[in-house]
Amino acid sequence: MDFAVLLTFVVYLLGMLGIGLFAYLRTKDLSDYVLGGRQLGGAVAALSAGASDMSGWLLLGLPGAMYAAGMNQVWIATGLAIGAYLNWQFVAKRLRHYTEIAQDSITIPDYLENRFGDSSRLLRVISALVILVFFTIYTSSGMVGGAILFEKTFGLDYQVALWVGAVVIVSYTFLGGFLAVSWTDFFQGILMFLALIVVPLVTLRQLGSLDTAVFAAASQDPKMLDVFADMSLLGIVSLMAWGLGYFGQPHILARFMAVKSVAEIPKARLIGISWMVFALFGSMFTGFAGIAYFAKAPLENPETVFMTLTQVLFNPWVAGILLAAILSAIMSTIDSQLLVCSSTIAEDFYKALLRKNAGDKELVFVSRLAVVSIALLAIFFASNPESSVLSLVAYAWAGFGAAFGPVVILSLFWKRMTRNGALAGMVVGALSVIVWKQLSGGLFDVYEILPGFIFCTLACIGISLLGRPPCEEAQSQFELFDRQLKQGMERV
Amino acid sequence: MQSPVISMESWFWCLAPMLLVVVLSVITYFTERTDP
Repeated sequence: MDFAVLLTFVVYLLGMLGIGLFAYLRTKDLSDYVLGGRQLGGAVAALSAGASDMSGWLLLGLPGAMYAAGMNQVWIATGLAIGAYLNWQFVAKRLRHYTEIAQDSITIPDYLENRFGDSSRLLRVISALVILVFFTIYTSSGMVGGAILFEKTFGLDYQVALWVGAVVIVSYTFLGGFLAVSWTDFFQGILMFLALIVVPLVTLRQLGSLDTAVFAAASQDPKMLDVFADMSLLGIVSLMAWGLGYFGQPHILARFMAVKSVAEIPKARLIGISWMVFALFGSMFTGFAGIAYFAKAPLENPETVFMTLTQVLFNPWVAGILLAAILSAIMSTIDSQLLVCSSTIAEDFYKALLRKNAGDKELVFVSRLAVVSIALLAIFFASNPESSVLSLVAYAWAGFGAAFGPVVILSLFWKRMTRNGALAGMVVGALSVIVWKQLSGGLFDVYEILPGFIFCTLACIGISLLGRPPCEEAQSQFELFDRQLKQGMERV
Repeated sequence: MQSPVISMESWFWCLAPMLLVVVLSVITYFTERTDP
């Protein structure tokens, strides 16, 4: 175990705890704890959305795929960049404004119930259950990634590594809620960005020129330079379809809801998209430069390309900081998902179903209790990395994207949409993803989010049109929202 | 062997959309910022 790397990690983790403590002092009520009192500045919202979106995949999976297979892996990054941009462009402003008009909704289930005036509680309960199940498993899967990183870097026992990582994340999330999560995400996002700029540039400097990298890849296999190599149209569509997932990810949508005003969104969008595109470029180029750098001694595990380059090219102090970027990518996703679960329990189950008149102190207490409970459950699943429960995570991105994405978009743009339409869309979208994933061959090889998204949209529109128009209250709320947004008003 | 330079041109088709979204973000930042 390298002392310099270890010390850098410890300082980094203490920094995260410090932010948690700072946020704790500024957290007064449930809106503060769940949504930071809707006071996020554009830059924090942007980087927080980016960092919580990009998990360890950005520093491990994507460079690894590029290193192993070459340029045809860029399609997924292209799809993600387009999806994220469209989400910021068309959903962010509207969702920020509508959630405030719809009885100051602070979670997605809360918003859906208030948007459609659903007194049956069905929309809230079903969407909250989906969030709870999948984010607990998502969190657990992230913890496995973090523990494996600790295990490999410091030779720590897996179980010890799991608890160390979990205790830090839970501590700052428990203390400071959304503010702590957003601010830690902000710093983690900066760290990830710097690491993804520095590592490929230094690798390139070591190689001498870009040509060296290009020729090394070409000499290994000319196909590595071709983005269309071994790619069918369906394959490209499938990879790009990952971008559709953005419209339904509750932890990313929460950032839109928390921005301090609609006027901040253009700035947040610019920062968020620039961060994402440069980070993706850096990540891909790290893998690509790795082909040349490790040409004579190929890596056994392609996913370690970023990690190995940092250890080979930098002194241990700098390597420690760069390795902390991997931990940042993992932690910033886990903390956001943990908090979404906690807010779902406090707002959508406890307050909505059990204690309507619960005060702020009580709700914040329940939220904190929920953070610990969900984390313990996630640690339990993660303690056995081979657990079959964790395989459910494969459904999560597509599941959220297909079940919530079209529902959220249509609810923000279409007055005629009804509660039953939303319900049908959610069920059809989720089921399509599950069924499509079991099938294979030809069209069924398409990533399941695409059919799920289409079927969900059709179900939302079809069932809405077949039924009676939405209630008077829901329609006038939509008209008010639309009018205010057009007038550029920020507050109700 | 295929020339690396020629095959690199195909990168344009996937990298250009990524740069395009950055450019669009810059443009919309200036246009929407001036909204009343």
